Amino acid sequence: MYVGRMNFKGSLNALILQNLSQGPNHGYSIAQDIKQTSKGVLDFKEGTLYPALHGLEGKGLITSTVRAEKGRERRYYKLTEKGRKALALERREWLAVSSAINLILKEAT
Amino acid sequence: MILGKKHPSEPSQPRPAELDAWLDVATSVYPERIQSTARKMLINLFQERVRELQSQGATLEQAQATELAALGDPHDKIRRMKENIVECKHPTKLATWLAVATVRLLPADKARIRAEIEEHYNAAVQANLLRGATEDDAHTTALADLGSARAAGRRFRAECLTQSDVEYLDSYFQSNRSTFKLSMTSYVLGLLLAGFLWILHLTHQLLPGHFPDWVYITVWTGWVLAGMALRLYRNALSGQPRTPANVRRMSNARLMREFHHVLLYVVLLGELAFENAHAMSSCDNAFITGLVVFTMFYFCLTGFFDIRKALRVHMKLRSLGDDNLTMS
Repeated sequence: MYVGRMNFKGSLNALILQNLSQGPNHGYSIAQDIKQTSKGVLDFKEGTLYPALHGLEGKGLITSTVRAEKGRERRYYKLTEKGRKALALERREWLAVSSAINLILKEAT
Repeated sequence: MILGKKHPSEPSQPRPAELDAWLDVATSVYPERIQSTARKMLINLFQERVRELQSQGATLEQAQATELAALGDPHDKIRRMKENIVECKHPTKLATWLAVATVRLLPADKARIRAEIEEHYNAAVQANLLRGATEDDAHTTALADLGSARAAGRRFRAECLTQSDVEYLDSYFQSNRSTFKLSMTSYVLGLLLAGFLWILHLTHQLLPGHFPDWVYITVWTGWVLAGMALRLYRNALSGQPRTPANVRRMSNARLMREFHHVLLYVVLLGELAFENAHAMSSCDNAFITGLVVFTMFYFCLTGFFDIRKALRVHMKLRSLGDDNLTMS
C-alpha cells in the first residue's frame, strides 16, 4: 500500500524528544532516524530540524554538548528531566487524539 | 579469477578478491558502525555496473576488470572524501543557504548554526556518495534536503534573539535624562489636572459624558500614576548591569509601557466614538470628530504594532535560558 509523505510540523518536537529518549544524538542522525523509522512517510526538510532543536534547548527540554569525533566537532543533544516529562505528556495527548480519530474513522468505514 | 571472502550481510555473488582489498581500504574512512553498510552499498553499486557492462556484451571477467580499473586508487578516494568533510566542495551554494538562514541573528547563534549545518551537510554528502551518487549530485541532494533557507531562517529568527531585538531592548536600557524630565513633567502636570478636576467635580458637573465625572477622573488619575511608576521603574533599571534578570525586567517594563500607551488611545477612541456618534450627522462637528477619531485610530494602530514587537521579544526571552541571554 502506498502511503504519501506527510507534513508533521506540529509533531516534530515530540519526535525529536522521542528520539533523544533513546540516548544522546546529533542533528543529522536524528533526522535520518526519524525518516528511517517512519519508512519515509514522515518527511521533512532537514534545515527545519535545527530551529526546533534550538527551541527545545531554549525551553530546557534538551541540553547540548560539543564532542570531537574523528577530528570533527559534533553537537550532541540530550534529553533533560523536564524534557522527559514533556515527552510523556505529548505521548499521552497524542494517544488520546489518535484513538479518538481512529474511532471516528472506523465508524465512517 | 580468485574469489574474495564473503563478508557478513553482503550480497552473495562472486566478486574479485581485488574488490575486497579495495573495499578494506576505502571503507576504513567511515566510523566502524557504518563500515559494513558502506561496504554493502559499494558492492551493490559495483555489481550493478558489472551487470550493465555484461548486458552490453562483455564477459563477467572483462566487466569486473573494467570496473576495478574505474575504481582507481582507494587512497585517492579516501583523500577526496576527507577533503569533502573538511572543506565543502560547493561552498558558494551552502554559504548562500547559510547567509539567508542566519540573516539578522546574533554572531554567537550564527556561528553555532553555521557549524551545525555544515556538519550536517557534510554528513549528508558522504551518505549520498556512499549511495553511489556523483559528487555533484551528492552536493545538490544534500542542499535540497536542507529545504528552503528562507523558511529555516524564519524559524531561527522565531527561536533566537535577532540583532533588532537586542537593539530594541538595548535602546530601553539607555538612560535618557532629557526624555525622563519631559515625561515626568507631563505626568506631574497630568496629576495636577486630575486634582483640579476632582476639586471642580465636588462643586460642578464638569463633563457632558455618558458616565459620571468621577469615572473619567479616576481612569485618568490611574493612567497618569501608572505611567509615572513605569517611567521611574525604567529609569531605575537603566543604570543597572545587563544581567539576564535585568533584561527580562526591562522587557516586562517595555511591554507594560506599550500596553499603557495603547490603553489610553483605546479608551479615548471608544469614548469619542460612543459620545459623538450622534454629532457625526452635524456637518460642523463631523469634521472635528472625524479628525480626532482618525488621530486616535492612528495612535491605536501604531500602538498595536509596538505591542506586537514587545510581545514577540518578551516571548522569546521567556523561552530562552539565561545562558542564551548575553547582551553586550
